[in-house]
Amino acid sequence: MDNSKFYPRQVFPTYPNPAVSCALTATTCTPSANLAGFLTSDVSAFAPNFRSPKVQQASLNLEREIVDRFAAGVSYLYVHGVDLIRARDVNLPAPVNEVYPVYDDSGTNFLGTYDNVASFSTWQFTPSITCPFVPCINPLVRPIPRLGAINQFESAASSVYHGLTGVGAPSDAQRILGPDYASTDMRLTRRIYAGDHVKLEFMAESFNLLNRDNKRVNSNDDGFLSSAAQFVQIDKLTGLNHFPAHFRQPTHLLSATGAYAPRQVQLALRLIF
Amino acid sequence: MPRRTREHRLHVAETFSLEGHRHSWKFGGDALFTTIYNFFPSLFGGEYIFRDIKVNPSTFEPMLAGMEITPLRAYTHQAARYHIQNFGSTESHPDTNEYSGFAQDTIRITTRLAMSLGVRYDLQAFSTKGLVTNPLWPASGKVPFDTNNFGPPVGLAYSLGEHRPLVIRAGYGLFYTRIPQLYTST
Repeated sequence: MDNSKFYPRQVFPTYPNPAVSCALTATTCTPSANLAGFLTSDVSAFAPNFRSPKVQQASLNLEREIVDRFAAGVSYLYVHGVDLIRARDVNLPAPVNEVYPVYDDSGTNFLGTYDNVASFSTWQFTPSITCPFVPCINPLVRPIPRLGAINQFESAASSVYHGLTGVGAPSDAQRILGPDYASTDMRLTRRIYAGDHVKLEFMAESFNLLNRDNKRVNSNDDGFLSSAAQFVQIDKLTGLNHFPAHFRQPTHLLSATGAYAPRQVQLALRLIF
Repeated sequence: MPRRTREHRLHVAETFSLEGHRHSWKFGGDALFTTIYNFFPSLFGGEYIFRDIKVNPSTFEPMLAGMEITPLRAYTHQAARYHIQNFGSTESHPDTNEYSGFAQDTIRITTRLAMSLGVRYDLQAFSTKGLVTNPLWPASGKVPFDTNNFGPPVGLAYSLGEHRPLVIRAGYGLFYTRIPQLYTST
């Protein structure tokens, strides 16, 4: 329910109470009659041509003993996932091209650009019983209006992984290129035989041995909040033009705001008997 | 909100080997039966989302042509923009049975070269217990049953040189991954 719309506001609950209070251990929770007009049934279903996800894996490993009890090796690993599971809402209306102005984080400074986007938000500009104050989203635009999202699980995603001596990076067709990542790991082991049935094994491991500063970019989108750009359903008068909504773009999009782990060293001693 | 999952697993596996002059045969199979009771009242307690919203500047009641305030200020005045709450059943039973079998032959072609050939089969079956078909979308409430899951693992090992030889290993396989029960618990 959107509290800024007229009809939802009539039944909008008071924070922090839920619209309907259900017992913590209840096995079912039933909506009250006055919420009926605001409910949608989301459906999850497998696609009719759904197949088991599969992975092709190939590897090449070279290993040689350099000196007594010290071997060096290099390995390459290729992993190709196909028919991986992707969820897609198949109850969306045909997108409509809309133009919205782009503002900065604060929403007060117009950045001078407009985004032309294929939007599912079909705006209604004529008042009606479900839309007393235009503009608003027409709730009847889904192909099956009595249902909300239909999340269909499809065999439609793929992935490719190349790994060389433990260093690798996944990629796919819709990737965002961020700062490069490299890590050098090392492990040294020494086994000492202390009799016929007792062995001591010393182990020293280091991850990110060279202590490289691997920068990290955080990007997320949960449907309401996105770190890429916020679609804000608040109208704007930009110049002489009125827009029912606008974008807010963060100033430092895709800038690194964190880092992966620095050099880590772990020591282990194992007694085998 | 409280949640709990109770999972029972029964796993039966058997492998046996046959050794020949140049061949090492391995045969095996396993069956994993998983029964799950899942209690997950997701969003049954409701969720408020505080976003930019226009309000009456005197009462801070939401108002279409009012004053725009930030999410933090909206929270201060308890003027939430959205409320979401889920309804329905909190219980699910995403039971699954998994079966697999394999046969593999490792052939010592020469003293330096060995090759491994095999075949593997995987099958995952799901329960429809508790799943309901929505008449508006007949594909809902059904589970996948893909029976054509054969994979051919191949491996090669070669030793190059006499003293401290270089060992080269190469492998290829096609593996069918299991489908997480999450997909049948919704």
